[in-house]
Amino acid sequence: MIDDDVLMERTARNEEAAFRLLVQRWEKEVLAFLIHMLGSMEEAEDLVQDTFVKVYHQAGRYRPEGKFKSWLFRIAGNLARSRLRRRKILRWVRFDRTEHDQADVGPSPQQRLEEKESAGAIQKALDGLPDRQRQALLMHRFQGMKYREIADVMDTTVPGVESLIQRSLVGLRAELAGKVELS
Amino acid sequence: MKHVTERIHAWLAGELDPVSATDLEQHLEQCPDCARVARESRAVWETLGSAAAEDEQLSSPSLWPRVRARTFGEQTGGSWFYGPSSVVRAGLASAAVAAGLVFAVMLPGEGLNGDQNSSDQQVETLWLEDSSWTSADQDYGLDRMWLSAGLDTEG
Ligand SMILES: [Zn+2]
Repeated sequence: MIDDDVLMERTARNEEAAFRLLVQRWEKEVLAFLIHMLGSMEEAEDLVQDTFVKVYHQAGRYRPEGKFKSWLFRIAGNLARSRLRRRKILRWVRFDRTEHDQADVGPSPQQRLEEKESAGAIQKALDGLPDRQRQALLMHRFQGMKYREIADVMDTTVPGVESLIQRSLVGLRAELAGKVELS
Repeated sequence: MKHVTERIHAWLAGELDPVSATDLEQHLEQCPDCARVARESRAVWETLGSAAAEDEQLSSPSLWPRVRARTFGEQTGGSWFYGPSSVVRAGLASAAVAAGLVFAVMLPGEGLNGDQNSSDQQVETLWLEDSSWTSADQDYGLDRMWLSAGLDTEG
């Protein structure tokens, strides 16, 4: 398997095949992360595109130090939090677009996911967390990133990440109690 | 006896060093309160783990054609005029680069390898830079939202 750093170097030299490989290698993981961040398949797909467009435009600045995943999720995480902030503002001034757009497009993978009761309860509980707590928790539990990596991605320290994840778990314990089977 | 509830998640996450983990486990044996929190936390932790495993089944067509249209598609001519939002975006990006705003955010050396003990000043600077990107993204997003209300720009 060609290393991500090599693909980034080639992307910076405008090699389409290299960029394509990079997108296809990572898009599913970024999509899953963004679905759980945003609770919306449509918005997640939107931001996956934005993430990779940004990767492409920033490829020349990327330093090949074997940390592509952190770099990628830093971009995706920042875009997600911007989107969430915007959504909160729009909710005050306009209708919520996602609710309307999703009405007649058939079941998306996310909707199918939510048909399972416990998955729906989990996503709802995740939605209720503060954005940074959710981001840290998802990166750890869903993306398998170490606290050190998450600290880098989120411009904080390892104890900072510990605290975010600790608080997210307290929130989830309270929210999920009795809703999913907690053995 | 000092309770260990604050570190239970780190223990579950395998982020505790072996000595701290052993201390914590000894405490759990003696303290019913912490043991209860540990049981509940573990249940949530495992529920999240199963949810993560379900992501594996996520099937969605590749977004590469749409990403390509906004990157390499632009260079091969023709589609240039059909991608106003991407052009707006590129303009915003280069404006930000020109202002030197993006550099630290996107540069792995700054954020990813940054000194653990980076000062508050640096963190503050990074956040400012972050929000400069944010405002560009927000403008772009709103812009595209208006567009997508009238026509399908995704082709
Ligand atoms: Zn205790």
